[in-house]
Amino acid sequence: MSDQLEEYQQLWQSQPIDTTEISEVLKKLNKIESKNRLEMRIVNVSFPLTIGLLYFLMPLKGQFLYQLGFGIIVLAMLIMFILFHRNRFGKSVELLGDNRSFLTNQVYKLKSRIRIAAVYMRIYTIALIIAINVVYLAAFDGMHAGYRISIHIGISIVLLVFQEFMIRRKLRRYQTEYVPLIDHLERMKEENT
Amino acid sequence: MVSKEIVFSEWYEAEKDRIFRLCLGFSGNQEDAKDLFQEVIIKIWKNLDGFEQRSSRQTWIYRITTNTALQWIEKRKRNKKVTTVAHNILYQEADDSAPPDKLIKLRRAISRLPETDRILITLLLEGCTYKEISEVTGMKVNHVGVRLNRIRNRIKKDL
Repeated sequence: MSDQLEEYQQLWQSQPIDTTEISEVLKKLNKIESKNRLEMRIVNVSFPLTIGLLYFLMPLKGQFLYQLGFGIIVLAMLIMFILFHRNRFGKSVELLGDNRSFLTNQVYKLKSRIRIAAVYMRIYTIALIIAINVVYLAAFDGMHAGYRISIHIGISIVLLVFQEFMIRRKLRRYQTEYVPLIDHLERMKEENT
Repeated sequence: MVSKEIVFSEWYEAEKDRIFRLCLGFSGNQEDAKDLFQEVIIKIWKNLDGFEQRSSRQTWIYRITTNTALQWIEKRKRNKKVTTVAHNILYQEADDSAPPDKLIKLRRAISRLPETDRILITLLLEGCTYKEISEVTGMKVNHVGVRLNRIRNRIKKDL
């Protein structure tokens, strides 16, 4: 092929190409951009709105334990919100680097998703359990100790089992979906050395 | 916004054919190439402000195109679609626009290559130098040469 490289280059570059007119492309791009802006605004407004609504619906606002429980829930939600925001609306600067750096970044991103499910989701669950238990300390004040302990243990176990079931299901999906993909990307990265 | 549109329009008119051919070389068929082309165009539009002239415009565009193509494999794998192109459905085009036999054979030979090799050969066919290919892929220049020699021999055999 080496002798014929120029011939093949000419042949390759002379292929008839059918692409969209620029006016159509611009119309589509502007539409996508405004849709993304709207989506981001909705997400940005709905988060403080949810927090506000939670606070508004909270009984006995003045009580310290309620406020503490509320604070823990807000903090846990804020961490998940930042992770989601970064993932959904963050700029894809990795696209501007060479293929090798891009592949490295993609592998890192996929591993991060697994880490989010395996680590952050569990931290979120523990924070939620602590917050609910703190709120229940105040809510069931005056109730018989035996009942109170049963409620605390019961709600903690239910939440823990449910969240753990969801996390494990997600991790199983990642195992079949992401792990082979990570291997494939790693192989491509090796080829690009 | 208007100035972004002007810059983008100029880029689009100058580079669209090259971008589409890269997508075609990578994806292996017109239908997928169109999808991939659309994704590349959206990414160029989104990242246009990020162009800092540290590399040439063409290298910048090639990087976005090839990286989007690599991401495209990821998406297809996640959607459980097969990444290797079925040769019997390659380049089904209308009879009146059917490409010459030589071109069909060349496209078919490219589609049989691994993904990273498809990127290398299509960049070479676009007239990129080894140094430019090295800037796009992140490979060392001498390694680009070695790899391209191997790819050329394989294609020669296929043709």
